[in-house]
Amino acid sequence: MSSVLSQPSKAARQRTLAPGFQPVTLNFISGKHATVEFANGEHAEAVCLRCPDTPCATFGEDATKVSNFDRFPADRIPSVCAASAITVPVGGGPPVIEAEACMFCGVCASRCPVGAIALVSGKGAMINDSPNVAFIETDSTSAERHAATVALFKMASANGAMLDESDDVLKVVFSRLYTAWNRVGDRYPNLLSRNLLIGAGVGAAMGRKGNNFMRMDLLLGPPGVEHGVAEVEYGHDAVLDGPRDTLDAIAVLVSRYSWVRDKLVALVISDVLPNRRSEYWSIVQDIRNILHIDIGTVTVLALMLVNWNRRHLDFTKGHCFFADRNTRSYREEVLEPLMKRKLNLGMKPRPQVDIAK
Amino acid sequence: MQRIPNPVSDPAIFIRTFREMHEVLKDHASFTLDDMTQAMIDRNNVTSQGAIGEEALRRSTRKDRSRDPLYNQSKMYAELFRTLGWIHFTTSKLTFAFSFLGEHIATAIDPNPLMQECLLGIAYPNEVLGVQTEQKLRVIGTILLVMDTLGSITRDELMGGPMSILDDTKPKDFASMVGTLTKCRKKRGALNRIIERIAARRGITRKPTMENYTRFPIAVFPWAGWAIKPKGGLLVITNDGRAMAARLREGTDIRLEDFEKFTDRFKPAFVRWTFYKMLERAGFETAPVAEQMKKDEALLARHRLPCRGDVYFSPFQQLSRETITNLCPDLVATKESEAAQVSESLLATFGGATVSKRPHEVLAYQVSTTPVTMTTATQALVQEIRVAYKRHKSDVARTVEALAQKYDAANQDVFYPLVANLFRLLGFDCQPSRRGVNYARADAMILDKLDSIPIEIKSPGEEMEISVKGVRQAIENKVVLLSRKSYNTRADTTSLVVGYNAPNDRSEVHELIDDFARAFGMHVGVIDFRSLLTLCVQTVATGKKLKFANFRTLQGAIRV
Repeated sequence: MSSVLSQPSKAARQRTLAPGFQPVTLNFISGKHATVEFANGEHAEAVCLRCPDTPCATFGEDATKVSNFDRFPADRIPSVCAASAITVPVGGGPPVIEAEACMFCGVCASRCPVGAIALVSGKGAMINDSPNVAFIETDSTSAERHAATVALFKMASANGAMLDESDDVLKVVFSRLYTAWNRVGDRYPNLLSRNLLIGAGVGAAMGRKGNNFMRMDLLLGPPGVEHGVAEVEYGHDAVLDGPRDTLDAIAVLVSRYSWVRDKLVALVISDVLPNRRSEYWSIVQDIRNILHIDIGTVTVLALMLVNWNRRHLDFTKGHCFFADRNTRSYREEVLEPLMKRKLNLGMKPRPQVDIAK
Repeated sequence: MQRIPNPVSDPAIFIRTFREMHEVLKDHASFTLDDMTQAMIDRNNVTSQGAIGEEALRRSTRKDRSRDPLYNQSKMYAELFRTLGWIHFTTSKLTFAFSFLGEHIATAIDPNPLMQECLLGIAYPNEVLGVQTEQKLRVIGTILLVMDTLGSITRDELMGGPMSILDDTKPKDFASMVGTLTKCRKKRGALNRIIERIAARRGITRKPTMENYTRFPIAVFPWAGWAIKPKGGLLVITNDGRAMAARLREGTDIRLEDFEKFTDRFKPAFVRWTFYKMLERAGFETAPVAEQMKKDEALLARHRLPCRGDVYFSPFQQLSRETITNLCPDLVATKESEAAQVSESLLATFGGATVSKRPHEVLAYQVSTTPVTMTTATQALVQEIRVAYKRHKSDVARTVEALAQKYDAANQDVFYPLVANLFRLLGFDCQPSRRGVNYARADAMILDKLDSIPIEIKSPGEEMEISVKGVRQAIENKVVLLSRKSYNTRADTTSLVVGYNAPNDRSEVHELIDDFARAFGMHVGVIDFRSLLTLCVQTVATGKKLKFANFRTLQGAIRV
């Protein structure tokens, strides 16, 4: 038989650090590419390394599975960008971002080992691919050299946020989010939520569309969670289904796979918070009263804030996402404790930020 | 209408499933449907009846393969893999082999551009599927061209238009089909009539059969970026879709019939050249075969055969393995080993399974002592049942059927109070909830001093068969009732779901009810409308009523 032909491999020309440049600190600045301080006293803007595994665009095989349930029939779609705004050219080179399609979730930027992706206000995620004195192109590819370069950045300290929240930012974020949802279709909410959780350091696997037997949207596991489930419900009407769908998921895992009910983390992830009169808040409270299960309500904004600020969630130490009819303000009782600071947002009522009257 | 199977509605999963199956079976010269199933099980790509892995296989496998869910799923996958030219029948219709095209899909860094080529390469008739078809159709390409003309297309338009055209190579037929669709958009009901005619002529049902055939096309257009799918089942063409439509129009479309007319000695060159050009368009490096391509192109050009620009002819989707072996043996893999051929061992190990019969609760009739005040509505219902019973000559089954049919399109406003009244007729103090009163959650409530029972009702207007949705709501109703204590109840007292048809045996309703019982110690009882009617007709006919004690801890579906 003739030989099978191949497509050109990606990242034909990688980048590495110039000799004598050892990163000490990565400074993240909202809306800009990170700057790197080197041990030799030099500063330089972070530049795309053209990683062979393109972590900004593609999750590795293990990232889309959960280690606590190997046999879970997950949809292992590897796209880091739920809006499909990033593509890796078949012919090689740095990933290409269609900035207008980007909804600023920050997952791609959080996965760049050097901070070469900026979330530029009014535009979108942008990759810095212009070489400078510290980042040099190499003629050959070497997985070992690349790994060594990434390891140096892992050892460096990091500070700052990739994007600061503001009213203007939120307006663009949610407008683009809904555009992307329309374009990508039904799978978008689950995909975005999974990716945001992975970006926030939580193991998350997405259930397969059409799988009637394992109906949970997301299964959670290490790191960040021992055992958990998340139901993803975007939209004011859909979110009301979240608590009962969560009970379904828990029942399946406890009954069929002997997961321990009391140790499960249960989350409902939504783009909007139900209003105060919604039964949602009472049902969450009822479930706590009767079944002793705390269902946390996690907004997309909460997960984005975590990603923008390069923080990791650790549910093994408890969490602050439980809210019910007694919660006066989600913003004050969930989001601000999560960020450990006041949010830089106006008080205009928005269902993405707080529980409306 | 062209039949396209739909093993999974997500093209990304479809491709991944193939690539993972290839990883497992790539060293085998041939494999069977059972080998495919085993490979998919190995990679966690299938579940069956609430189970995954070997347990799924055990629950699915049975001697009657036509009723074996995993076997049938593999059959659908195999049919679509063949449609796309990734696998072929070997000399036997029971075994398959990977094609050279399939090898490229399996090993590509980015298989998506090649998948797009394969989508455009689906053309009927072809030797690969080996089925008779009256249609001459490049189905995905034609849908794209229709969208390019109309700007968008709906599922029903797919059925009545491009998927049902007899010959899309005739410009007149194509224009007539587009013209018909345009007229149908202005005339209510016209498209429905066309679809019904097609269904009748083909002897298939519109729902679910014809609708199922559209699932794969509807899934691939947004996936390929050729259309967006705003809510409501509409496909709207994108700029990329328009660009691809323009390329299709400019390219040369060669069908099996055209190919068969070529002189035999030019066929190998045409097969090689069109295949490698297809790979080239999908981003593959064709340098290793550049010389061959040049020679083939020169030969084709000399004899005025199509070899300029895009030529749409996908050899592995048009020609059988046998034809390709005869024409271009170097494009056919020859491998030594056979796959494990697991069929016999599967049947030996698991073949005892049969379609699972769900256990149903049985209710005994006992005289109820619960006094219930009959409302006017309940009395009217009793009268309605009496009249029907008399009209059907005291035949309970016929009476039930007549009443069931009368309410088969009832909406919530009719069905909810009707169900509540049927329970009252049985002797329960059942109250429907008032519209807009969310607090109680349940749609109706059987009131009792100790054991009130919430009822979740699904009208035929909402769903015809009781599904897991209703069971989830029943559990929520129970939790709400226990927590808010609006009425007295106990944790193990059942929560009911009433719907029009009983859940089908393949649904997960029964498993979920068991899961809820095991995980939370809560019981859900399910009763379909005909069973409820049967109890009521019997009650009206005999005066017997259901004793409450039988009902309290119901779990599972009751069929009377």
